[in-house]
Amino acid sequence: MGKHLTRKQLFEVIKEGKEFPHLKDCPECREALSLLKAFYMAEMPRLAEPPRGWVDKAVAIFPSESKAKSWRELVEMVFDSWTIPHPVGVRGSGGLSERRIQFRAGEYIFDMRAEHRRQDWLFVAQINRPENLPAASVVKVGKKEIMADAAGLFIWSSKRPPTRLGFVTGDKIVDLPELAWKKPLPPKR
Amino acid sequence: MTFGIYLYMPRTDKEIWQDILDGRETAWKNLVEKYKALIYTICLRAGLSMSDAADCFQHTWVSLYENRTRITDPSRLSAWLVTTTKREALRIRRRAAAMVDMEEDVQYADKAMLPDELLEGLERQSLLENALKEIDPRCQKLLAEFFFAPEEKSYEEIAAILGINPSSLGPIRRRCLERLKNKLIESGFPDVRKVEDEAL
Repeated sequence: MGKHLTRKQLFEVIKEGKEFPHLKDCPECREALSLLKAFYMAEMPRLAEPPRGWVDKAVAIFPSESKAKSWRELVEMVFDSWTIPHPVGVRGSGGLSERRIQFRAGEYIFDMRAEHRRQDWLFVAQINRPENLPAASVVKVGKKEIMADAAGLFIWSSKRPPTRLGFVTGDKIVDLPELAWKKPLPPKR
Repeated sequence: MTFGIYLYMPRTDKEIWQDILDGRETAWKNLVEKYKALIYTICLRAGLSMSDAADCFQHTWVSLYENRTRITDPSRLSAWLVTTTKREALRIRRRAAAMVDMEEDVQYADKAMLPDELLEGLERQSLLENALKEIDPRCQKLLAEFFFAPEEKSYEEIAAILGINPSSLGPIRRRCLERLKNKLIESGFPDVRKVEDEAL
């Protein structure tokens, strides 16, 4: 079978169309040739490595999980319409088709209305903040991310109401406490 | 020549992207490590100064982060990064030129500076280098000696560097190429198979 083709000879095949009888009998050289052809290996200069500091800075763009955790501790629910008792004389599931929830995370107020429609749930959320803080860019609903519309509202619908919610603002991810969607029963007398 | 630290990254861009959307910081870090050299090389090829190249590099990543919910096909992430880096590099060049009133010259030079063929070549090179990092270190070294060493070495010389018998070098090289090829196919470059068929 003879000696394997050298790198120089492989390039002669690619660039000049030279023929070497060895190539027909040697699957190794054909394999090498195919990769050289497909990727111009050794013809392209190697890619340059950026300075480490630049890479660290690019990595830091992503909000760190530790920051997000510290925020989770600060979040508290400040209002839930389902915890308000029905007026005297009102019975049944009245009010279950709607819910309004508010969370406070530092100086941010996450305000969400949920409406149970025939086929699904509709959600409209708004995130208020003092002017000196960055606006929320995304609301996280489980794995989905919802962007704000032109009016700054986060609107989405889903078949089931979400248990995990959060939002992204500046360099922080704010995870809200897990939500339950069973209306609490009135206390027994 | 070495290919850096052996990183075990058997995951596709699509999977990494899903982890990023789920808020996993390590996934973002993996992505930056994977494409840092490609982005940096494009910034340099655009003829930017080091400080402008630093801006170009950083803005590209910021842009990806800000647009993360708009990426509809994460399997084409490298193409998205190439296009964004090119736009960013050209924007910085124009901005710099506007300050010295040379905009026409720069626009003319832009076309020659980052032609599509060059960018495609760099994207392929990035794919190749990432695939090489995903195979075992012995194969990385062997293929580097065969195909990337500045001076071509004989079978005997390469065998001596790797500490193996020259007669077993051929079969080992074949296995290494097979592994590399499989990684490249996994990465979504069907050309490898096509070109191999042509060669037969």
